[in-house]
Amino acid sequence: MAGSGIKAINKRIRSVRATQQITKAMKMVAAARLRRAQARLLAGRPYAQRLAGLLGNLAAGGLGGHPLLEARPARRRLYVVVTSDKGLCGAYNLNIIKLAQARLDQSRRDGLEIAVYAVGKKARDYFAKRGYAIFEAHADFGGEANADRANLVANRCMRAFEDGQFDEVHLVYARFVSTLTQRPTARPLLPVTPPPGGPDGGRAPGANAAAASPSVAGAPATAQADYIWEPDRAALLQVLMPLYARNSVYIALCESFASEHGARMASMSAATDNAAELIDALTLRRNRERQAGITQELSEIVGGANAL
Amino acid sequence: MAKSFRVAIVTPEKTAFETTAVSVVIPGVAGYLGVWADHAPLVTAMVPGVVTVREQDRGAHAAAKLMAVSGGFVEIARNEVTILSDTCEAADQIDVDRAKKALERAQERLRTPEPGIDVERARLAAERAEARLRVAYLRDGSR
Repeated sequence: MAGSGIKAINKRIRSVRATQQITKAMKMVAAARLRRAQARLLAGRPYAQRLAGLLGNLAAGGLGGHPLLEARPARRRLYVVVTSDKGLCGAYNLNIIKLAQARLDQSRRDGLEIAVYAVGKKARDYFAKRGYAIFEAHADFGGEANADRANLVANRCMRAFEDGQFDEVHLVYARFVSTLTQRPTARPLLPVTPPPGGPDGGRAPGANAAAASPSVAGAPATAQADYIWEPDRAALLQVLMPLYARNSVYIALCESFASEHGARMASMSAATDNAAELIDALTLRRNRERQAGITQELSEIVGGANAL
Repeated sequence: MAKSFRVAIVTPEKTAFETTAVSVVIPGVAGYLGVWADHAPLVTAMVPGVVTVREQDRGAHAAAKLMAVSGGFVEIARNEVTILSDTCEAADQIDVDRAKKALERAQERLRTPEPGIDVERARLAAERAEARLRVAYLRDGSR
């Protein structure tokens, strides 16, 4: 009887060990992808900062009319929700979806027509199942951001905005704070709200090394220089607007996917630790049971010898 | 020695190129634009074309670095030139066959503009492909 108990425990241990190997492998894959995503995010910041700086500068001199700047009374609002395609990443998707749903429901209570632009299978499945209007969905990004994918999403949004299909477009994604911390964030994408044009903290000239430094904050030191604008502000704005919108989406994708890999790494790491703990506990139980078996056998032999 | 200044070509995905230069030539909307040190602060839109950078410390007769860019912005301030472009490729990163095909396709579209195609887009595509090919060929031919 004791023997069969040990056998069952051995089987459990083997199975837990197999699971542990899988979670460990997933953790390592997530760590590698996190490194890549993080590098991509950092590499993308200098461009984003320069662009924001330029736009702020242009905006400070008064904005001409641009279709993407046009603030209309909001009647139809589109939410671009960025999640992952795969699960096993802790509460990452849930947190984003929760925030998105709160905003969606609030908008609906305010009497707005709403729709979801789902990036990632999780967002698509969740909102489709609950009867939200899905404007568009992508389930093939696989946790990798690149300019083409961002442009695809951004162009679609810009067209819908300019055609008057939607009066506002918002982004919901997870901002990457650190490997262990992701902050679900919602912010407007369209109409474009230009960043403030004044010098904010200001970077020193020669701060092009921004690519190498992870902690550069704020816009570049473009502000307050007396520029020659060529051809002129209005024409520059024409070119800058779509670039800015595309870049906003790109950065959001980068942030969200870096967050995803961070969350997955953390949750797989926890799973691996839990498996190790479980294996320890099971091993202890097996040894105890084995010892009990031996003790029992011994006492049986002794008892038998005494009976003779 | 000629005065020098910083040049960076920044794309959405990374800082593609960064150096100290003596001069740089940029495909501005109003034509190619030569920049030397102490240029007046300027922001200009950029069309697809070739950026030519003469680097410092490479002697007056060293070949300039050529880069195909796909349009965007240039910002010049305090002896820093920042080129914001969607793409930036040096000769060894350019797929000549692909660029040739893209050029043919774009020219074909421009020759027979069917309704429903975006002429402006085709023109830009042609310009991008031409810039790439120029960079690729200029590398091979000695300047």
